[in-house]
Amino acid sequence: MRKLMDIIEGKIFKISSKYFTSKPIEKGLLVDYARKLGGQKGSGNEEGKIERGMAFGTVFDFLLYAFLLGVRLNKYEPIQEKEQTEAPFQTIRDSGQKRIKIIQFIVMILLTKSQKELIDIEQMNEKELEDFAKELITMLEGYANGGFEIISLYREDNEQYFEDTNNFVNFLTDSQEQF
Amino acid sequence: MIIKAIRLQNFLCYYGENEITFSEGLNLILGANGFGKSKLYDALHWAFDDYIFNTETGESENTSIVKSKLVCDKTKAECAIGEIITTSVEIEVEHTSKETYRLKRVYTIKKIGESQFTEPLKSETSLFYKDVLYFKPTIEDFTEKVEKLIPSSTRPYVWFKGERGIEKLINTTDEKSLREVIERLSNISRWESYKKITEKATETASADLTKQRNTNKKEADKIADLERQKNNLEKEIERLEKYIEDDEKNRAIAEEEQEKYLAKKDDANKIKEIHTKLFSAKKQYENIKKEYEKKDMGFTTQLFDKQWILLGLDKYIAEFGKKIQNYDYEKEDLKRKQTGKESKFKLSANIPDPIKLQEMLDEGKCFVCDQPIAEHSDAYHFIEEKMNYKEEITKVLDTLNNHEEFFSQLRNNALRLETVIQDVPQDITEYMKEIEHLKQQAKIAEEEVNRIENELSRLVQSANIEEEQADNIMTNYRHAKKRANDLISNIATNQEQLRINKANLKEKEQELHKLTKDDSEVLYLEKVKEILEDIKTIAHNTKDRIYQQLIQQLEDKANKHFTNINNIGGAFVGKIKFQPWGKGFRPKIMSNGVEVFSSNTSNISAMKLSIIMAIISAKDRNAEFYPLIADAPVSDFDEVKTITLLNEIGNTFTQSIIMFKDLLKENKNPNSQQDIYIVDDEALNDLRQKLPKDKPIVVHQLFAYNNSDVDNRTGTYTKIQKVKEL
Repeated sequence: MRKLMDIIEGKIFKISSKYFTSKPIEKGLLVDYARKLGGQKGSGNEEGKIERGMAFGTVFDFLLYAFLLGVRLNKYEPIQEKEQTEAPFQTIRDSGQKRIKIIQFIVMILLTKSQKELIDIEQMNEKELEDFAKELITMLEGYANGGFEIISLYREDNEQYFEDTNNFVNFLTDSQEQF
Repeated sequence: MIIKAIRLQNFLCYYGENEITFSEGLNLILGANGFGKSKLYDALHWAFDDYIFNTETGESENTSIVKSKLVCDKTKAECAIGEIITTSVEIEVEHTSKETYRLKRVYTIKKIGESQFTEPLKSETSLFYKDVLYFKPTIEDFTEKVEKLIPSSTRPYVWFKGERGIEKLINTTDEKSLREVIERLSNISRWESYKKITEKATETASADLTKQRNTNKKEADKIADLERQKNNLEKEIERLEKYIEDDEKNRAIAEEEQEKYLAKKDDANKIKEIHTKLFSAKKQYENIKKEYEKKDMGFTTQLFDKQWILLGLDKYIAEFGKKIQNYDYEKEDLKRKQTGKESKFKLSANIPDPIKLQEMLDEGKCFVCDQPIAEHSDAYHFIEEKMNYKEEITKVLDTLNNHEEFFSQLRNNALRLETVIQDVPQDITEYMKEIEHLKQQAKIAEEEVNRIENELSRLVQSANIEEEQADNIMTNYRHAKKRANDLISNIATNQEQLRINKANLKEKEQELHKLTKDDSEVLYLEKVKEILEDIKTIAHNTKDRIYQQLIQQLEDKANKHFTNINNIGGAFVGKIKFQPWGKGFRPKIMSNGVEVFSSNTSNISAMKLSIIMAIISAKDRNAEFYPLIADAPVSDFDEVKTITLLNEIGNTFTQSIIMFKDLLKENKNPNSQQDIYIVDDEALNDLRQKLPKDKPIVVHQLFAYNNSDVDNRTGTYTKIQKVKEL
């Protein structure tokens, strides 16, 4: 029987960028602050990021940032329509491995936020486990979506703010004050 | 040499015997065209060198070619078959030494048909010298004597025919031409021979000295050896002196260069220093800037690398802890239900962690109450049981979907991140401080770069040295300095060697002197050698100096002649200038320092004659002189100019024989065919007035006779007659 972490990780890595970019409010957001994925060779590396002055090496990093922002500010905006056919982030597995500590922390948050007790999870059969994992991913997407919305809203009022990419760090505290 | 007389016998147009006596001074042979002037000129030439001038070809032709054409046509016509005709030219000359000779050239033919003759290929010569009153044959070689009287190389300069002859005197397009003329006609070659003679004499004296020393001494071998050593030393000294001289020259050049660069060296050095400073300042600025940019750009990376992204989310750790705790209880409860027995442990199976329990046993101490745990004590067994309990529980749970390890992993991960998350605000502050610090550093470094750049630009401006040149100046200065130093050291070494060699040489000479000091002959020869060496040096130095002086003297004299010939009627004349050209000189007519092009023919002829006259008149009195013999040299000249030229010639040459048609005029009332032309007394008197009294003028006139038809040459012949003596 597969381990829960494997199932969740597998699902996290299959999250599609399309979810976010298809929504009008976030349109352009990913493009503006994260490098496009599946592009040139070496894309997503540190140097490439610095060269292009992007805050995030990958869209996946941006996704994690948005999720944690959504959680921090308790902004949950579930995604209504899912286009399952959309290709997942192509470099997620690599950067996912690099971000394993953060991902585990996120999974911990998801488990904490879930209504299910841990002991109940152990009672689940494979089908139930699969559904539970989907549930967690939907939660993740919802908070991430919420995070993106916060950024979009803030950007509307503060056009120049994110031009300085360093403000994504400052936004950790600034957003707390604003929202 | 003076030509005293010429006797012609059946020579060309001169029928029968004709004799002309010449005197010192101006001998003018006057004759109209076709009267035989050129034939007289030919007679002189033929007698001396066996050639006559062919007017048709413009070439000189030998007897072997001309043959019986040398013989007078009239004589040939009158002669009977079988008769022998003798053609001869006899010239009486007086050498500068006052010895008188008679040179005779004879050509003999025999008539064998109406117009057929035996024609030998050669003429015969004979030579006589005057012994008091009479001429006696001499066994001296005819050609050698002629060469002594007037060298064949000199003849073309004093014997010439028409303007063409003058034209050929000096080739103004050949750098050697004038020099050759000067060397042939002046005494300058004497100095060259002095030079050669003294060289030869010194060489001989040296050899004599060596020989004398060798023969006179028993230590001949030793002397020879010493001589050899001495020679080698002398050569070595000469070589070293040359080296030193060359090195001194090059040193002066190098030092001059060095000084030139030295003047700019300090500034160049400073520029270079500042350059280096600027380079490192720029590099430092670049490094700091790069570091700052990297740090600044890397700010967001810290979100993940240092988990700043988790800021404020540590509360979930505690919340998850609670969930885990519930899970543990539930799990234990479940286990109890499944195994059917109560656990004697209050803490759940995982607390404390079995690893920690093992550590307690290993160290023999409880980590909770700090009490010792002796081996095989109750406490020891209790802990062992607790560890086994965990294993038992795990076995039971393995039958279910056991996520315990996964949850525990999540919790441990979170616990490890707890402190990190708490430190995030401070981390960020410090990082930002570092960025700010680097930014300040970069600004300082940039200001430093600007400051140095300004300093450099000010210096470059004030020193007037391009930045790129600064390097070269230093290099060039160093090179010149090194070169000068090397040369100084070379010179010093060579001078030292020279000093040693000179000392050695002196030693050898003393030794040689000692070996030969009793020998008066050797002493004498030594003195001779010494004197000859001095003379050699003098001859050497003098030749060049004399030559320069001669050139100046000749130029001055030539101009004097030139002015005298031309300075009439106010016509343009210009000035002759001997312009240095290659290894020789080129004569030019200059006007106000500018060369005159396309000067008229008479002017060029006058220039050339002036130069020849200058060379002839520049000779000292004791030198050999030669008569000027010219056939129609002045046909380009007008009458006035002809008189001035004759005057100049008369003044310059001890003897001159000039054949021309000027000074004759048509006789208005001729008595006979022979006096169609008479001498122009007026012009002649004018010439007489101009020439000094001690220069006699003798005038001969040529008369043409025609016994029969004028067109028939066999009936025409020439006779010569002295008509005036002034």
